[in-house]
Amino acid sequence: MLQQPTDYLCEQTRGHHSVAGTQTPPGRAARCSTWLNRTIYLACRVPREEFFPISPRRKRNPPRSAAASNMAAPLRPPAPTLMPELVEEILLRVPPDDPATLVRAALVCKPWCRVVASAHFRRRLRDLRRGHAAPLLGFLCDLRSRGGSESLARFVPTAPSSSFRPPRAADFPDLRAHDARHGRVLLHTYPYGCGHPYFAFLVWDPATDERREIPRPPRYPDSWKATVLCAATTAGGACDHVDCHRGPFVVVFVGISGGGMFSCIYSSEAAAWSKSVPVDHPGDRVGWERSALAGNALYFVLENSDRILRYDLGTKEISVVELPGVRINRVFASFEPIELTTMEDGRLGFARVEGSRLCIWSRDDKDVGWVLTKVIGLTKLLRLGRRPSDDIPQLVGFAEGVGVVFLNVGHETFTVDLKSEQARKVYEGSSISCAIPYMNFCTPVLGAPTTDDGPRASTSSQGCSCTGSDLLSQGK
Amino acid sequence: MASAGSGDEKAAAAAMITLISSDNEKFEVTEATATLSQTIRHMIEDGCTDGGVPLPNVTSKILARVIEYCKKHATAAAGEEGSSSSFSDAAFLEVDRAFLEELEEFDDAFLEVDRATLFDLILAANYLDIKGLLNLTCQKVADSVKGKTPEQIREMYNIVNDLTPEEEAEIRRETQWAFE
Repeated sequence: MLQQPTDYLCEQTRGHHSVAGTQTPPGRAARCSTWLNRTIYLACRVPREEFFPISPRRKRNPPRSAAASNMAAPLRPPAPTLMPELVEEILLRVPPDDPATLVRAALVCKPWCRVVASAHFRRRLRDLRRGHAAPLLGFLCDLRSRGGSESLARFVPTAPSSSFRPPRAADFPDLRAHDARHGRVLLHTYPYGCGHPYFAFLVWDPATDERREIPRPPRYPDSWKATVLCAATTAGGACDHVDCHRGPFVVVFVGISGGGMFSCIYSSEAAAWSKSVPVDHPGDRVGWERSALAGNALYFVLENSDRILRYDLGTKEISVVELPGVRINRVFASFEPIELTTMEDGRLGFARVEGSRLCIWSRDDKDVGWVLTKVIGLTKLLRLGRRPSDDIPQLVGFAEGVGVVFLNVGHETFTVDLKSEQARKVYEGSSISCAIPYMNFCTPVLGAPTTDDGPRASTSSQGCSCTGSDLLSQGK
Repeated sequence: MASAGSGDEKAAAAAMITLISSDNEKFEVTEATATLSQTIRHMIEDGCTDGGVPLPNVTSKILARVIEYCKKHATAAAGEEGSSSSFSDAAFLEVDRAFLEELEEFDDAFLEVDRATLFDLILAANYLDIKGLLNLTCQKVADSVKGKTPEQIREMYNIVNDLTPEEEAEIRRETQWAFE
């Protein structure tokens, strides 16, 4: 840390109302303890030179007299110094979908770096974010090569709204994106269970790049769907899912084979699948659409059916829920695709595209039927009818909690925000069949410079998150 | 310093508080305005405001701005209290909405200041413990650093980089994604 000449510090203090240079109101110290304690607390806690390092440019210039200062007033007045508490107040207000700004702020100077690196800052961020939906940082999709034989699972950031990028390459050859929840992504080998002799699934944490291979479930299915969840969800534990992506997880697997339907759960703590539990199934195939978590149950779409499966995470039992009968296309005698979701109030919901309208349904107040809650016209929003080729909107994903639907039109993928009813193109290229939204609070984890001996200095003990550096913790 | 005045004057100014800036300028404000500051509210509760409240950390220039903010927001708070009894009345809701819009416009205009003044306002809001003002000003700075490089942030706020080249290189290496 640069040592400042005392006279310069005094000049700075006079020039601005430095908290360190507090003047006590005469004769009030005893009576106004609350007010003064606040000032004294700040004055004692924060050494002057710790606020901001003083610019060498300014340091080289000796303090000038008031007259001289008036004659040659600087074009831009220097910003007053802020204590770490106030730098923290500022950085707490960086939007949660913009972790890159926090990383860049950490590179401004040591005091700012210490703020971003401190456990206290992370705790406060957690408190602020508790009860709020995690922001949409990007989505995963499967891209096919031009020949159509090779496939690649890729993370696509929803830029420019989110600055998050996975720290390392986010392309997965020979794997397909399957699900994402609570900060983790589930990918599977393709064809299922083949290609990779040791594993059938890969659980990937885009924030830390941690990858975990998962073996095949105990039974081979004809159709199946799997979901990754924070382990606390099935254990009945309380987790706000704000910062749990480094913790234990489970994968819930529902499969249907010739012998019937079954379910099983993989636990990262046990590093093993549970025994498969047979279920009296309704005789359908499990759909490929993403499952939804509502209350203490997972819901799975069934292929060609106006029913969905309800998997109770507590009892591990499966039951059937009837849909309102809107999936059937009577003209073509087929079932239209739907995307299940969790509504803002926690109820189960689903989206369906009817011609050029996006319809959102949710469970009613008594949880016995369904109500149409929103209809959004897509013709103007997606400029339908203006493309030379196929421009029928196709539903490819639903980001629960944030109320964002993914729609394909031709080779373009759009997000439609249900609240603002605004659309934005997020991808253009080979047509994607499903968009798996990645929502997470991603807070950089940095080591702090050891020149700070205060309680705010901390280093990551849990590896790294969006970022990772322990060099700073080695000091200089 | 503020004069005690005669008995009649005292009664008339019973709900008035005198704030004294670091450069000894006095500002007369209503108690409703002053108590947006938790610091001053505690002083009033402790009976420490006779003869004025010296604020040695706040210049007259900044105190005038802070008072401007508090006056506007104290009026808003009073308006909310007044209309709460007729909350279901659509006309009142309409008035509330118009008032909130006006308040937002005021806040936007209030933040049109240079960066040094903005930091001064943050320091004053923190010192006087005015949550709304602290939130407003800190959010303004947070918005201003969005998408900026470390060099641009240093330039904007006149901060020198005291990280060693090794430290900086290591963070950059580990966080390359944030700079792409």
